[in-house]
Amino acid sequence: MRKDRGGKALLKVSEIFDLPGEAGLGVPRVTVTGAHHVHIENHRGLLEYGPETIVASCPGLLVKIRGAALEISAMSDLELVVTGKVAGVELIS
Amino acid sequence: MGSIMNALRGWARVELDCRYSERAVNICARNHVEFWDLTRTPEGAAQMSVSLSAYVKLRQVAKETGAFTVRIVKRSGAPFFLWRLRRRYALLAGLALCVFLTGLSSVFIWQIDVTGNKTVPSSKILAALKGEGVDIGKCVLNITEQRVADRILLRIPELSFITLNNHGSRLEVIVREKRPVPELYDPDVPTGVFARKAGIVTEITALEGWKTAAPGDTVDAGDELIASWVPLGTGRLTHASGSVWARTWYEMSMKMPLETWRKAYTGEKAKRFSLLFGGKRINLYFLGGNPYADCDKITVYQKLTLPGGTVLPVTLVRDTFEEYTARRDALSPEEAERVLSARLTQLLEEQIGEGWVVSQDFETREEDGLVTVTLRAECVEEIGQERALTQEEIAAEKDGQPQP
Repeated sequence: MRKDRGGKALLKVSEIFDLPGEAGLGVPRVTVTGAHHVHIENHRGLLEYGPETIVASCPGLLVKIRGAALEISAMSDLELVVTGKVAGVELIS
Repeated sequence: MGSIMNALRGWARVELDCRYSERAVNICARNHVEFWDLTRTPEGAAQMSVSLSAYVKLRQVAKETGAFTVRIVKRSGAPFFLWRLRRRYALLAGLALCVFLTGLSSVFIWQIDVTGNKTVPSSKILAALKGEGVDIGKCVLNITEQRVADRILLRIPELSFITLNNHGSRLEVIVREKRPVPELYDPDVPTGVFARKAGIVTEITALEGWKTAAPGDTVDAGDELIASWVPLGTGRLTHASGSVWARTWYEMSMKMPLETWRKAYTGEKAKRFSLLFGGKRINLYFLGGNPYADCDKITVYQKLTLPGGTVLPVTLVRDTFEEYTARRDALSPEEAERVLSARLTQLLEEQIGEGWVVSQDFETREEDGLVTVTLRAECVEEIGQERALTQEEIAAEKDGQPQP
């Protein structure tokens, strides 16, 4: 509870000073390029992956990518790149 | 580019056997195991591509965590290819020799590029370099760049700066030339204005010095027009200057035959290739070099380089032969007169310099298959030319020659 309050306070401070949240606060950033490339920063790992659905866990939400022939092109502990025919990106809080 | 790098360093397609393959993938990501092209097999296992170094790390992670097992599905790249050849000693020896020779060739100069020169020809700089022991095929290790640069500056006084940059087997020579010293106006040097050409003076203006000619005078080339000695008071020597305009006449002729030989290309072409190793030429053809009786030969030298820019000690020489037949071509007298008149007019303009043509007349004669065009022109031009006086000329002027 305390950690959650601290996170919210930091988020508030970053909003006041116009600071990018993904830089220091670990807020996830999802970038969709066209309909074939999704880049997720600050993820916490994969929950599900397959050619039609990929679900990535991020701080405070889940990112669900739907499509066809989906493939994880590259992955590190912070970043995730998904390629394929992307039909939709859903944020589940 | 990425696929080329992967092929060079080697990569493997591995399968992670685990009850929950997502967990195995997350463990890999957290332990900084770089992978790409992650897919799930129909049986639920994870398949991914990893580099050789990442594979070693992956095996270590699998052993430490015990969460999954690793199985190689496919391997590819240069290290695996070489590993398969480990018992083919002759092939490996050839490969090692090739690598050794390539490395050895990089300590020799195979190309010299000269840049930055405008008036000093590159051939002169290359000849000076050769004199200092820097030439194609010489060992780079024996060259002291600074010493060579200092000696080249002494050999070629037109250069103000030179530097030698060694890029493996390519030597880059950057030079800077000295700026020419401008002609200084020295008022203390006794100077006269003399006639550059013969003519009749129409106008003479002396800014300094004493006029010795007047409008209407006929002067010859070399005559003094404005004297240095000014006979006023006790007299003094000056740096004479001014302008002298005069009427001048020209007569010049040019000849042209009415029948000429011209090349008529047949369209037949042939190419010959050869290789140059240092100074040795190896022909890549068996027949004679020149395939036609009458032909033009165009030779192109192409240095062979590796993709990274490393120059190889081999030059590809491409000779292109274009066949032609000599054809007798007749020229009409009018055409010959037109061509010669244009050339004579251009020649006249070059000779006049500062001035203009008052009148000109062309005369054409045709005899023995030759057309002769003669140009006679009257011009007005500046004929004054400054020249420093010799000691004898100064003494003569002081003695009263010329008189005011």
